[in-house]
Amino acid sequence: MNDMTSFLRRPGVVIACGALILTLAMGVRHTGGLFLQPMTLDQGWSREMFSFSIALQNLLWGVFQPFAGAFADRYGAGKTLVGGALLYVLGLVIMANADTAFGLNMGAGLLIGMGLAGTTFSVVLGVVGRMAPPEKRSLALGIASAGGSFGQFAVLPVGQGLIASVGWQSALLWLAVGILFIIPLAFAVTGTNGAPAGGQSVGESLREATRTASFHFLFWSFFVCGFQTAFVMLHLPAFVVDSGMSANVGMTAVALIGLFNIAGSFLSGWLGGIYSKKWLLAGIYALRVVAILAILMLPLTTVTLYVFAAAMGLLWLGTVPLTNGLVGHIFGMKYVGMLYGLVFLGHQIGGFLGAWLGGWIFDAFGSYELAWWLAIGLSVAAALLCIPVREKPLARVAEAT
Amino acid sequence: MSLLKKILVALGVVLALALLAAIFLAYQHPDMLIDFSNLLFCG
Repeated sequence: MNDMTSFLRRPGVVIACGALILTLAMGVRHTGGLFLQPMTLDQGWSREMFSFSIALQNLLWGVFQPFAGAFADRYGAGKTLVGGALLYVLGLVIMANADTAFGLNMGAGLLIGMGLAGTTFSVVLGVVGRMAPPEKRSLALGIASAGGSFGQFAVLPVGQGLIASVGWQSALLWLAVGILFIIPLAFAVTGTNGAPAGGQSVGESLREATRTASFHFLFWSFFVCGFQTAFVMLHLPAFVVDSGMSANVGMTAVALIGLFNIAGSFLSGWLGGIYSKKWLLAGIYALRVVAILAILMLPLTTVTLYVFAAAMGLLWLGTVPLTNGLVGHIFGMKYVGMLYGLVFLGHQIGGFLGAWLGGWIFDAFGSYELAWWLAIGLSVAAALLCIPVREKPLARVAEAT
Repeated sequence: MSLLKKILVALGVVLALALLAAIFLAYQHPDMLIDFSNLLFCG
């Protein structure tokens, strides 16, 4: 092993590169909404048409995630990240040049969706989790996840700055250049599922997971996470403006969610290495109930809104290192990319419904109140679903290790 | 931990906090930064 290779295998380097990859991939994805107005105005498209391509992207990201995870487990995360980055770049370039609905759906929907599956949590966290010793695994997952949270917070203003200075088409191409940086970073985030797991095949792993109750509990609790985060991020600004507050207050709330999300991801990973992950997850969903109840019950002022935003930020992506950590802990690290990818599919289906149902409920009832109560009910269910999760390795995994 | 390492860590923390503060401030001009309807539709 030469000096460069041994440098790239250092845990600190792997975690830092993994976090940077998530910063780029999650950050660029988060700018999607910024392109709605300039693209629809320039191309004469309806907002529904643009929104559909972003909704398609989110669903396909979820659909392709288990396949990307399985590919990374089997053939290596490095190859998956490079392939994912190239698809992501191609998607951005096609999006920049699209002049039909088909082109937009191919670029922004299909290719960026596939690119996201190849460059985000399931692939990166698989490598980080395998690299870290068990006692530090949760902390390592938390640090890498915080990279994704930082990207969501930091790249949004960059995207808007680019649109304002060079126009939306060139902005998309500059963002594509940013995604290209994933390729050199991927040299540090490599490796296949060399971990012992009793010679299990992909099919056997899938059958085992789908016959294990804890897997279903994690799938549905993550479904709730997706529902809540998509609903809050998409509809909170409108909720704030409807309540008579200024757009500035709404944006500060969005910024607070992003800022506290960085700390929340790190903290939950750190705490997951000390305390029970399932109880922490149950606690996150229970605290979301408290936060949403508070914003509904208390008089809506700037202070209560900011406290709500900070609390939701702390509880935002903290579910990622804990859910990923539980999947790896229970089923072993061999197929963690694929199995976490399947659980993430639940997150994306929940996200699709949270975004869509929020709008449907508002249109049907003239307020978001029912959607907030739905989010509360689902959060109670998610907290309860986490409790029966058996937080110990399956007998096969325990024997193999 | 040597004094130099402590200084570098402290400098890194200060720079990171300054970066976060600068990004946070960039969100304070919604008219310049983000069209609300965009967030409304696409998140």
